[in-house]
Amino acid sequence: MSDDGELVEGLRSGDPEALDACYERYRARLYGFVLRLGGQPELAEELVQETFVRLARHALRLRPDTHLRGFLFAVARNLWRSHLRWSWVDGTKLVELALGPTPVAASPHAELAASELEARFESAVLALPAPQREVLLLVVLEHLEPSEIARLLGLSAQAVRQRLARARAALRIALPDLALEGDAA
Amino acid sequence: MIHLPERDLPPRARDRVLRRAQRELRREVALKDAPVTRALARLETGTLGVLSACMLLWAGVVVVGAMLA
Repeated sequence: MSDDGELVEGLRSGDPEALDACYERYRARLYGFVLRLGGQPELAEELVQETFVRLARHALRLRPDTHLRGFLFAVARNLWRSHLRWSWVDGTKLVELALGPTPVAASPHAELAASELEARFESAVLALPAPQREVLLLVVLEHLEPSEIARLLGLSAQAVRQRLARARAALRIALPDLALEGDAA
Repeated sequence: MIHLPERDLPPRARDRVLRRAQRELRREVALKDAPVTRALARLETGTLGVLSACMLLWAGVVVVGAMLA
């Protein structure tokens, strides 16, 4: 299965191999996204699982023109948003929130490979307000354009650009030695 | 822009998550192939509308009949 269109076709017909291929293609990308959104490995694991379960539930009803990546990232982001909302009414989660996000856990290999700048960048991203963080992560991890992010998050392109600009400004203050995409323009 | 290293699900979770999703897909396929679902899918929306209207009418007749009796 070479592209997302073929994967969507396979999923629509209930082909388990299409789900396998989709999982291989997006598992790590989704995990990286939700892990950096919330900073909690267990939560990220749970949200990735729920994202693929939702995909499986909707597989047969996907439209042929479904934008698979957009669908998956939108589901993952909405699940995370929903978790955030519920955490305000869950006492145990309030304690977690009071303590702040736990540091993103990396594999020993990743820890070795990650430069000090990357580690500082990860921390600075985690400190951003959630609306800015999700937009910035979609740019950094998925290289999405503001118009695509707007469609995915149900926002106006203007709102996305505004959040992105604020995120960049905050990162410039936190990491003055970091060159951000779009700075040169 | 800085490149962030890829993060992946821990190995112990990878199979579990996929198995769970595959189970859900099998369930959806089985549900779609179930005789009742197939029969319902064959009925057109219009037919279902007429059937619903008939059932409502019948329910109305029963209620009115019970009140008059």
